[in-house]
Amino acid sequence: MLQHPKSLYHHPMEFEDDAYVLSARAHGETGVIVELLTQNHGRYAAHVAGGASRRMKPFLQGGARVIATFRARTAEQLGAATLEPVGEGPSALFDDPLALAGLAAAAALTAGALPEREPHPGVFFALEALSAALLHPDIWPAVYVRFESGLLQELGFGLDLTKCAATGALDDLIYVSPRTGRAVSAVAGEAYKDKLLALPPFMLGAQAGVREGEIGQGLDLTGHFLEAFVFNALNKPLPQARGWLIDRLRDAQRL
Amino acid sequence: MAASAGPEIERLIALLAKLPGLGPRSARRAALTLLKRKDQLLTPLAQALAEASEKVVTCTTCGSLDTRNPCAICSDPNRDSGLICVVEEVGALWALERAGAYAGRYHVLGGLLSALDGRGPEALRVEGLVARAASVREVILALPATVDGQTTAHYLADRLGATPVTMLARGLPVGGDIDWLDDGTIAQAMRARRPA
Repeated sequence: MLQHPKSLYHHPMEFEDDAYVLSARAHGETGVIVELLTQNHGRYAAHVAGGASRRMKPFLQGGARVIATFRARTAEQLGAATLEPVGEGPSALFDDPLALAGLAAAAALTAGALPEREPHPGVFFALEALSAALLHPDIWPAVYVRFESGLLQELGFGLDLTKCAATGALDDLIYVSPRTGRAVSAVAGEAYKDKLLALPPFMLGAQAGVREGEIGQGLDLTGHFLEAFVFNALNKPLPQARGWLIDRLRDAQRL
Repeated sequence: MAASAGPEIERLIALLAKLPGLGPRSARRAALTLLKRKDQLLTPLAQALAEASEKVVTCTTCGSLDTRNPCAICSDPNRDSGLICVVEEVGALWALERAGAYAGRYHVLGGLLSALDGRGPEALRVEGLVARAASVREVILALPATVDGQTTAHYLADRLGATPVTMLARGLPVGGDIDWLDDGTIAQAMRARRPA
């Protein structure tokens, strides 16, 4: 049977998916353009009609969990979304300025680093884990560092922390090569330690506790590769929200 | 656009269409009403606009809009000068004044910190607030219950140091049915419950 000629050009898109709101900005007086990280479809921008209304404003904020129904007439269109809130969302963190900074940094990093309309369910689940961890002030900074490490992994620039790049040793991995992202052991790295990045033990396994100074080391490590491999390639600086998070963690002596 | 209207009318419609709540179609209706009722509406409106444009200034003390500087609120001796209520924009100040529940002074920040938009403290009227706060007994942060609003509130609370700082309560709106509220508001209200 012959296809109607129009169908060659029009590929209507419609899907429903779990999502996190990454950002929302006003469009006109009543609408909002949201950026979503959906579970199965990746990062999507969409127009939300009535998004500036009192009913919808509470969950049109970075970090809010929603069920999104996305519709577009063609794949090239911006598309429109209707959103249904799930759970309490970022208001659970309103009394914790550090956690708010962590949420903002994660949302800004995800929005800035992920390509549009490319599925990255790993990042969605990492953001889900981070959102849950943000309610626990003692553990979330380490989870945040792992989130950034996972983001690198999803984008194809994962750190290889399984063995020493020089000797193949499995133990005493305390450095990372700033060029390759591969771990280096204490012995092999001794001569180059000024040029290598410190590898905090908590990044090697979930069992390792976090000691003083290690969150800062972890953020230096992931920040180096995010900047060098992801954001430089996009001609963008690292999001300011990440810098603010580091400043706040430093002020709170949590680095 | 009004196809057969002259350039003056088209310009009037185009400018009216930029106002909140008015699109091109409603701007055309508004322009037509103004033109039809020239003496009752158009001329007084033009005079009022010219007068506002000439006389309204930003208060250098609090950042509000008024025809005098300092503004009527800042120069009113009957208002409590020991209280400063911090708001995002003048619209919030007007809303608080409308409610009539507060008789202190104000400070208009002129925006909120926004990590996503890259808007830092230097873009807001923070230093003026810090200077004013040194001589008051309480600063009330009446900022939006949003991520940016609360981030700004925490930042200000840090900056204001020894000055007692309070925030507006979060929870059930007056007349609000619980089954119509979002989960966040219900959770906030539950956490902020008080003895009956």
